[in-house]
Amino acid sequence: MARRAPRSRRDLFDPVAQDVPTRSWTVLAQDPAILGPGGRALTTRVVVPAERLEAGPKGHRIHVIDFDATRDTYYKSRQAGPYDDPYEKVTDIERLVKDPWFHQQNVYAITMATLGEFQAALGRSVSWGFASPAHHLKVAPHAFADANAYYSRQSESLNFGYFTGRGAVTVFTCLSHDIVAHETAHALLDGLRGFFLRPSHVDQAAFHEGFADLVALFSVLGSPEWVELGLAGLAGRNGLIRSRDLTFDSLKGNVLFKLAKQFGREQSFVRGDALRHSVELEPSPVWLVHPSFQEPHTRGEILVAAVTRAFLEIWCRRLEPLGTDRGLPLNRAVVAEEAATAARQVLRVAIRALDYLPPVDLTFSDYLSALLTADLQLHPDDSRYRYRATLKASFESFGIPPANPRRRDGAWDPPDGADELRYEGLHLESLQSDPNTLFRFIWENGEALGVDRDAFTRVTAVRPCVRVSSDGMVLRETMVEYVQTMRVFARELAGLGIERPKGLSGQVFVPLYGGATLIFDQFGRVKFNIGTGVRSARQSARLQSLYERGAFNRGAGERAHFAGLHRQRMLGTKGHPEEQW
Amino acid sequence: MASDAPRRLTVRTYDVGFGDCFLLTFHYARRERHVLIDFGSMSWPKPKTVKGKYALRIAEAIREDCGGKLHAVVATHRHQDHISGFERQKGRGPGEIIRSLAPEIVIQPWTEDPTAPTDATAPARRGFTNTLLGMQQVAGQVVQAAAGLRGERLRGLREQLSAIGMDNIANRDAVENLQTMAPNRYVYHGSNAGLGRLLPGVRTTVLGPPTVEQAASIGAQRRADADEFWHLSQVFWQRLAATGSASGAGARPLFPRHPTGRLPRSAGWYRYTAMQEQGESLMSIVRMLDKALNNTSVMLLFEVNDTVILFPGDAQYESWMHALGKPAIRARLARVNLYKVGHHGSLNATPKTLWRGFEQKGGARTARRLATLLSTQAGVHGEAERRTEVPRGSLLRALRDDSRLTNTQEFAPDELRRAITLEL
Repeated sequence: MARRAPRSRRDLFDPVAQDVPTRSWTVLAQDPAILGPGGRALTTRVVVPAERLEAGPKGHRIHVIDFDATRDTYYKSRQAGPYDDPYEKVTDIERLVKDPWFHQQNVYAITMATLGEFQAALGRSVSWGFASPAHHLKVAPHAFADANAYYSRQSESLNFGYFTGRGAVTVFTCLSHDIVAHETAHALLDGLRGFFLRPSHVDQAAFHEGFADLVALFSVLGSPEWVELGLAGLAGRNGLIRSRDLTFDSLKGNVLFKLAKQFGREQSFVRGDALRHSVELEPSPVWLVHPSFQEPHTRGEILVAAVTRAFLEIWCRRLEPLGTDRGLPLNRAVVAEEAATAARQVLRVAIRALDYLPPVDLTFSDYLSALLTADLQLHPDDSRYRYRATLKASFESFGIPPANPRRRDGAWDPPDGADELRYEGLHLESLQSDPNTLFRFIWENGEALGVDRDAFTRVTAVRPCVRVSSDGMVLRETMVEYVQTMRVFARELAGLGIERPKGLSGQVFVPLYGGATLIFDQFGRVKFNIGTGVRSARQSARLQSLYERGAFNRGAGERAHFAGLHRQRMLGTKGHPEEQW
Repeated sequence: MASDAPRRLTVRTYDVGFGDCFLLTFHYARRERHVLIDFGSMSWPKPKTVKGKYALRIAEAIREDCGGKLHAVVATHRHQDHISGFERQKGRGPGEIIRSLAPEIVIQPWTEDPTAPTDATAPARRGFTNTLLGMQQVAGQVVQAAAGLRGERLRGLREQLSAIGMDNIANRDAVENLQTMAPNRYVYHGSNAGLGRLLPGVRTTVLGPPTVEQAASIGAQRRADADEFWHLSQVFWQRLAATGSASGAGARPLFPRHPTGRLPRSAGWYRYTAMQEQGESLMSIVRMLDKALNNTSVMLLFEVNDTVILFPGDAQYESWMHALGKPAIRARLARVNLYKVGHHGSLNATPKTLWRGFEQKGGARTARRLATLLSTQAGVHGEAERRTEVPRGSLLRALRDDSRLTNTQEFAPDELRRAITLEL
């Protein structure tokens, strides 16, 4: 048999049509439990880079390793036609579920698409957060027999379990679009903000979970096929939906809630029920102080609820000029497309906001100010669909005001004392790339920036970026992150103006973190100084929160951190260090 | 003093290594009443076991100490280290001897009630007991899976997994013996212990375990909708058990027709770390079920005149807080004269609130100084460097400094049991 000649790069993409070559690969729109019309597999196609691939698939950022630790077995990957998408026309869900090569493609494509979404939103490439810098994230689609899936910094991997579901059917977590996107979001967030995995205020741990849920949810909502399925019950035979069915309450109850219930129920052990809970959670400041919401996985649902409600309002608002403001019915496909567009835009600003966060001791209020700043920078005019005003109002309805109370729009202010900052001897090019130059800038301007001179200071990131808004506006910035660390005995806390948690021994060594994110404009001038000090008023609350969660008592490592966290999401556990020996 | 009250109490602590076994003998004017609380071990004391069937020797010692008649048996909870001594082993086991002592009642937690799982009127309760059943199945599978963690580097993890997993495996032989050796009484917080007729003059209070309805916190349950939570929890453990069955030794391949092969060299490091993380994940599962079973412990408070004796099994924080949250009970706990140290001296079974409240604790000159009983064996559970070792060093120091401690680790090589006597 004649061997097929290897294809040239020219065969793989058209350099005239694509300056950045991409290819589209088939993945499941949600999970195998959700079927399209006629019981057909509900698939969608996601865009991934047209990169050179090895068996795995293994590209330049992802290495799919199909190793099963429970069975100590390695499943080989597809060798032939590594660039083909043989599943484009497959509609038989059973065939997809039984084919591990499809599983490998599904995790590769969703992970790469999520990475691509982050890179597009941030306007630069994104690194993984491993201890020793590496370019490949390992992804194991059948990692172990367990109802769990997690990101692990230690093994530099995403691990997806499988388990026996109802009727002795094997359930594969790697086939759930949202679970794969959720774990990828953890990995990406860790790469962007490594200190967010450190113990801190409960909001910070909750943010990791809530943000990953947001990415997962809005990745799925960005698929019009899936939203259209949710709208099916509202549309008449002619495919039109009455305008009175396109209100906030109707879309919430009849579409989002319905979609939430359609998420494969078997997978709820792994993913939790963030969408359903966030749809059900009525706005109230009570949740932030409610005992049930003091653990990361449940507290993260507040964040998801605030953004989801804002999304619903924006979706409704986008339908008004199309006809709902005049009482006209709308085509189901159009309604779904508007939802997908709004979801993609909300997701993009949610990701972009990561650059406007303090590097440590994050609170939900910080995230709101970051969201508002990120959007304001690229879309100064918010009058059409009022994304920012809606997000702000939604967060506030859950008792989360912007961290910056001085501006009516809630965005961050330029730094106090910006005029006093000294730039002498610093070159623009170095300020956009060289950590040593940035450290010198911080050294020279310590007082104006509010740097604590007793703490150890380290520049942890220098990231130039080019962001492009949907209307073509280009924004060039350099995001710089520095972290300060001070380690003291608990008995020394009072001398720093920080309250020692009641019951914590004075002999315990306590790390205090501070630092800031500096945003430089295209001329190398500081636009924002978003940070918190090692002696800030937040430290008392942070230490109390840490103590209550047992962070000073046991040497619980970060290994399998998310494995435990995800299990807690399902079963819930709480330490009581004050009662332990 | 009531005329029909006991005048003295002898408490015998048997050296069962990492386990519990106590015989309470209430001395009345004309008779004695014997209550056996637990009989089990997950690691018998090694220098002694070489001499033969050690569990049988303990059973024979119990027979001798109670004069051939037990009045009550309390099995605080289902862990091996509390009930393995009740195994009959087809007529040759220590449980056969205990059975021959003809106890008149067996007291167990409500979670052992074989009718509980079918109690349709309380879905939360049914969910909880089914959850426990699922957990025990999973424990067996974890022991199997632990054996698959090969290599010297994973040895520590393998041994710990195996130890905790073994402790949680359902011990059918012992359970059936307990269910059939005498009428069973399944108790919960506030229920009648059923010892009134057998122990006249002794006020026995059941402090725990709480039912699901009594304490939403037991088993870490926090959700507003307890029924939904327990239903999910039950299904979760059932799914995990089914997964373990389908994936254990000799299981069918996941994709029977799909080619497998040698791992690429570039993925070798991942294999090792993945195996280690898998082991740690299993560990988190068994710790969860270990804690859940501990929290089903029967907690008994015996009061005779002004003497108070506390046997809490291995109850942990959630169960304790249910009892300590009630001011009247807290006041009675403050007067405890004899305390059986919970969970072999682990870090979280003697809440500091409880310990701080004991009025009789103090130095050697303290009047009616608190007596404590610690049945344990170092090196079985936890790690000193993570401050999780059992017995926990700081607790042991407090017990030594502020109580009259009986510690099985300090028994002589040929000492099977040690008795202390309290005048009542």
